[in-house]
Amino acid sequence: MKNKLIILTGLLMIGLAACKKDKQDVEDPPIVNEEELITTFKITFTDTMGIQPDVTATFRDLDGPGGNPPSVFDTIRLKANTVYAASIQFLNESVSPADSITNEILEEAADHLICFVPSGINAGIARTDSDGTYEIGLSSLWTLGAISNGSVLIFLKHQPDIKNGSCDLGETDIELDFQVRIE
Amino acid sequence: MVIGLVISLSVFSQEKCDLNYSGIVLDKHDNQPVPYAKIQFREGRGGAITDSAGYFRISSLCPGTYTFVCFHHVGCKPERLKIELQASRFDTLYIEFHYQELEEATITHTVFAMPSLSVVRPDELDKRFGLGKTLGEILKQIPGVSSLNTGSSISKPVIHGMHSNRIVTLNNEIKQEGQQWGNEHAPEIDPFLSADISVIKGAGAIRHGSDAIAGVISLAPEKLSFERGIRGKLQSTAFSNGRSGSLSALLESAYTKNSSFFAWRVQGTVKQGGTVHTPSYYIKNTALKEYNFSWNTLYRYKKLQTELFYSQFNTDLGIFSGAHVGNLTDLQKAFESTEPIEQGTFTYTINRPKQHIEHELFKVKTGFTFNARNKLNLVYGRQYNQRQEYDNHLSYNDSIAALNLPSFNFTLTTHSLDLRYEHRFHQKLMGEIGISTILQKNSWSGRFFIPNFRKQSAGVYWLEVLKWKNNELELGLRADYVNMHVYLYEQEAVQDYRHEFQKVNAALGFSKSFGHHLVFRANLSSAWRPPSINELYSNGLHHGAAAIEVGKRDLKIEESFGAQSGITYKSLRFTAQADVYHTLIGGYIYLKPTLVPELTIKGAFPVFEFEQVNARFTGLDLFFSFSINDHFDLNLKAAIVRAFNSSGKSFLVGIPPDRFEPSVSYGKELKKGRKILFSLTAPLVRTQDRIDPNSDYVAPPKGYALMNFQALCSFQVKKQQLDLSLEVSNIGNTAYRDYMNRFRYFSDEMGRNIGLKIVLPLKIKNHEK
Repeated sequence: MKNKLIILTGLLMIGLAACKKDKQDVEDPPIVNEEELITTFKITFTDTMGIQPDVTATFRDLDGPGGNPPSVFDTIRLKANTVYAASIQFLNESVSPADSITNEILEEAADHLICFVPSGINAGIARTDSDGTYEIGLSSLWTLGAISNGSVLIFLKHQPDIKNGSCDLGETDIELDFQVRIE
Repeated sequence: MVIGLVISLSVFSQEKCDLNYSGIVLDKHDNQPVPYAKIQFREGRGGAITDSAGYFRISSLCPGTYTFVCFHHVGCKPERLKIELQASRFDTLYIEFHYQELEEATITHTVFAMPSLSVVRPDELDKRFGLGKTLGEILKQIPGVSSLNTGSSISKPVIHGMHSNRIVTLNNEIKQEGQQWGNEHAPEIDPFLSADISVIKGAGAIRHGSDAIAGVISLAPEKLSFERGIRGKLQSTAFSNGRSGSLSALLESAYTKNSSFFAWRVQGTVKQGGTVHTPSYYIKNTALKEYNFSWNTLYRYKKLQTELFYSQFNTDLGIFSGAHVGNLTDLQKAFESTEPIEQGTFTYTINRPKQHIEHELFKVKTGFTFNARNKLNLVYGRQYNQRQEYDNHLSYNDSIAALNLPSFNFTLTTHSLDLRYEHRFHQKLMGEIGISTILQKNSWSGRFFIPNFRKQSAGVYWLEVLKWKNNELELGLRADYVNMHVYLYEQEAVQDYRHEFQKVNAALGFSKSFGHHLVFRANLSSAWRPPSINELYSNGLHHGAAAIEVGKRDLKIEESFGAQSGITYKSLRFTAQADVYHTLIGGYIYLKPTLVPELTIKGAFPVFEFEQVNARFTGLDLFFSFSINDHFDLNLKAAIVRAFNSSGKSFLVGIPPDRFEPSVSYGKELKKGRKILFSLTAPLVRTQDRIDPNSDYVAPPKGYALMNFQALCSFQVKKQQLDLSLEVSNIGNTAYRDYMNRFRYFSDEMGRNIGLKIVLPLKIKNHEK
């Protein structure tokens, strides 16, 4: 009888002590996402002839999907009959100082592809960079024709181990439909 | 089938036909009373159906010899047992359930459930076949119970069209707490540990407090017995689709000395599966792993009994990457293609996206039995639940990516304490009074979806059952109080939001048996639930659903009022059970699509907001069984649910379509105690056409018909008992999609699946005399 009581108490102690525990403080929730956000997309256009001024268009949503709506979503305004070299930047501005994600995408260039689908504008867009086998799209050349208004869909595809130059594969990490005015 | 008799007192009789034969029928395994069992004599018209507490009484009998003809719930097997009746007497009869029998209207392992409700257990047969499947699949055998699936590895039970926080799941008597608000969060309980399964269809608010609107599912391991000797059991399953295998082993023993008894058991399960496939392709990243462990001790000394129980459940689940879509354009593309764009090959590797879940339960139950009529029980439970979800995408930053952190990480710790007093005033009046308290805390890390909170709840209830002649009346009353503090970082500081909820619930039930063939039940009850944490506070992209879900902090409680009625008819060859229900829910909370999509860097997403409306659920569950002869049985199960949003005059989404399941079985007992059983089942599921236009991304899939085959063989090799079963699901390798599977947007269901199961009960050491 005594032995059994000891065994029972022992098991009870082991039971309580060996239990998994939540070490976090409930009253002190996390403030910052440990997960990384891409909050900002910037595309900068530079005239290859050096005549027209640089143009930058930005999309900014500091708290990520959900929460507050995006604070900035520019219209791209470019000059007709000009050839621009475009350069794309990805930033995480929810932290201070802002963190650049562009270099990390460049490091994983073989898994990423940026695609451009113009609509209603006189523009030909070609990617000018390469990961060694396929294009990336962080740098591109925009050849513009006459005055027109429309839009361009810019999207970033994550294509781990399946990249073959096609825009149909993989998961879409970024998709932005910019209004474009060629003036 | 075995019957044992325990004879009590006998008195000298007179030569008149006014003798009474009464008694109580108990289950041989756990000494629990068997309600609605049928007792019939060959001689004369003597017979009875036991009441909800196992008691029966046959009056006006003449002295003489009586042969038991019919002894069971269903499909009476003639048994050559005779009794010699010379005086009125009371017997305790023990029965052992034949694997072929359907257990119906039984009480759970606790003493009372409102007998006017429909309480069912899956077929003994189906339970055995179900081992190795998910719990959702096992419970689906019961008419009125279906499942909400996410792929083939995640399955949660649905009772009468309701699930998640409208069902209480009891894990060895403890209310399971594990973020059950999530549609893709299945109950974290080892199916091999759930030998004792019962489902109460109907509001269970009196005994279980909040969340028991649609019903209660009770899962428990087989009760420990004080039988001496060391016993074990080995169970193994293997399935062709997914090339999965599982192994479960248990060891148990007991010691007795004078008036003290001690029993213990240890048990463990491991399971692994690879990529599953539809008739045309592999569903990428559907591998899984599961490893569970439990120990259990029971100590009894005279009137005192203490039980300790510990279980751990761990699983890693691969989530089909084609369903984990992060962008609406990708989602639309997935909807439009007939096959997933990315198809897999076979592997056991679990890649991202994946889930990792741990659930730990520790239970202490102490009971004091004052006498056969009065018992006091104290139950303490501690649960730890951790849910981690890993996105498809690693962080761009290599050093963060190397940490391999989950995208979502929720930790839920729950303590519960229940005090229960059961009493019985002779056979006519019995009841229960109880107090229950719960303390809970939740914390998160990673990406925000639901906040930290602390929750306290308390409830007190009283339940009473009154019997007279063939009637039973039940009354129940309960008061609940819930208090919650939510800790949220807003406006650059930690806010403390307080929520308070309370409710009083009542239930009234009636059942009456007519002769020894028919039982009629009716029940009126109210139930409730407070809004769940995600309904109040979720804010963000619901990953994989490609939708933004926005909670509403001023949501009120859901209050339900239900009427339920049922008939059970049993005769020598025929059994029928019909249950009809109508439940009104005030403040029914659901996700309503708003019209304005939200723009994010990933494109536009539809936004869903939680809304409260008045809803009603009406339905019918049917079960028929006909024994053509001693070997052939024909069965039919059917369930129909009609759910309606009465405020918005629209159909509710996510309601199971009509389901019919005819089956035929052939069973035979061969020589040397061998038993075989073959069964063919054809689930027929209609399409869900009760939906509003533009309420869903994709139209509901077409209806479908499947064919499933099962063969069970039970025999002895040398002195070793062996149970073997072969199961072929979807014999025709039909390609189909099920409305209640969230992956129906992306891929077909599994194709043909062949399963093999072995059960080996072991007697390692016999009791020495």
